[in-house]
Amino acid sequence: MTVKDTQLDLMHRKLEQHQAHEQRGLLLLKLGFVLTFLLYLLFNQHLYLGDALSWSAYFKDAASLFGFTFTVAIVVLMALFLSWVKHHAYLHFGFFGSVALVVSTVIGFALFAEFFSSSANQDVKASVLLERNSAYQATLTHEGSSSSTVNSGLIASIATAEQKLARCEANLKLGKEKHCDGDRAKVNALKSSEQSANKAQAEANIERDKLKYARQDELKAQSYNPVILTLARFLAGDGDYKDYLKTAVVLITLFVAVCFEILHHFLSKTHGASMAAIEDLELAIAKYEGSPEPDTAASSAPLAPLKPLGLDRPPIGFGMPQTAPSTAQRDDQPVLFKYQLQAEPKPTESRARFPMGFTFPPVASTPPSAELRPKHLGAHEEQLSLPALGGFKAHIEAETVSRPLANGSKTGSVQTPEMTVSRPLANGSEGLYGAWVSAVKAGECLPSVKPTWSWIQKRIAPTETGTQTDDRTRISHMQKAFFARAMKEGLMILNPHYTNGGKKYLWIA
Amino acid sequence: MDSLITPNAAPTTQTIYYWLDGYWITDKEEADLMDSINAFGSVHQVAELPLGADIEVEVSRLLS
Repeated sequence: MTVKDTQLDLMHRKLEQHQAHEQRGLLLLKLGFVLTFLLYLLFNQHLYLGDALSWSAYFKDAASLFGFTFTVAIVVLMALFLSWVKHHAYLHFGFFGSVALVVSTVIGFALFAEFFSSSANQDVKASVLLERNSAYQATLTHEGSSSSTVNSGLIASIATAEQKLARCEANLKLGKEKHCDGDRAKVNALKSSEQSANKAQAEANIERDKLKYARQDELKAQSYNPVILTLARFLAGDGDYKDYLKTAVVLITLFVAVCFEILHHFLSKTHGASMAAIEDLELAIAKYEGSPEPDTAASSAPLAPLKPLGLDRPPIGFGMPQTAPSTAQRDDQPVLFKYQLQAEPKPTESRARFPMGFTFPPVASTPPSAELRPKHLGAHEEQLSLPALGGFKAHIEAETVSRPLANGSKTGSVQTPEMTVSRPLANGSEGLYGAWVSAVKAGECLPSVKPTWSWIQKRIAPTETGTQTDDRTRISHMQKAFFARAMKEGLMILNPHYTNGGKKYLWIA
Repeated sequence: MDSLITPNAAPTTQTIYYWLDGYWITDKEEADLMDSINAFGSVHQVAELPLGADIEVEVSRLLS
């Protein structure tokens, strides 16, 4: 199996993995859509229809039944619309990135709807559990115990004493009795006892009711989830935890809703990343399948990490073999521009010696001797030669056009002395374009129109003033020229799946 | 050479603008623009080539 076949096999395998990953992500997104629809349905049901246990009131007559049907239609359609918009928004985020306002609206409303319906459900669930609680029901079935129970013996004694008093008073009128004070005192004493007994009974009833209601509240609170109870106790501190049950329910349902939304949003991100990876791989495979077989020397070399085609091939439009640059561009060395060179003296003698318009400063031809070294440099320090940029302006002003070198079949048959130029001292990697390519490879600049435009603008506009100031159109032309060369060199391509708002160019280096 | 000076005749040559790293284009304004910001590490050169010439070969020859 050749290197090309192996690499193709690896790329196909990776593509299959990405596609399986994408399918799984899409399935989860659809599940999220269905779940969101149901949650919104629940939210709308609570908002517009109330608890299902109360729906029997809608079925009393035709008018209320019509109203119920109308409301149900609104509830279902609204839930479908909201969940669909959310699903679409998450797919949109995957393709085109997040929009802060849409993210906050979609996720914020989803959070509100989810914890609104969830917290209501917690209350309903607690009520249902409470109704099935026998201890709670026992507190409700002993209502009769609060009625006062009068002592029957005391009543009988009072009746007997009053009867005796009445008989005494009748005898007193007939003269058979001297007085009835004893009987009267007995009746009064018995009535006083009855009042005391009734008062004690009432106080006992009040205390019993207090205990009963406290027990009911305790049972109601205990019907909530232990996690909710724990959080409520934590929130209450030294106070009554039952007052914080609703707050705990809201906090816990909010936490659950936030987790759900984060995971749902994550799915949209993975969808975008998977699609980008699949497209890049398909492009790389298509390009690699059309490329020639690598030579044996390349085949015997250890396998490099997978990368798109075009890197090892000579770039289109280049007429010279690839060689290592003779000089390296220092990162801290500023790039000089035309306007910065205007004040420098024009080396007319040098230009005369180089009819092609190149000017090479003398310092480049002879190394600096010890005598010429500045005094402030040490023995091991060496002054770097200035870049050969002094002739830019001069060259543009007095451009020399060489005569045709080729003539069909006579290509290269005649060569005039003007055609000969010196060995290249510079290549594209030393200019602003090379710096841009390095920045893109290092991830410091995105290979898109706006980031590249800004990258160029930051490097040429901040110090440039006057009539030479680069306007926006000129910078756009520079950006287009950079992209044209990068595409010519096989570093980037036009995105074949480009849609409005998406990536127009794909960096494949 | 007669064709070059004959009025209304179809052009038989093309002008290319190339840099020392071998990159070339055919748009003079773009070449000037690139030189103005030292885009390619050198200033561009100009060559006039026959229409049927292999530009890659000719640029390579000019730079050799």
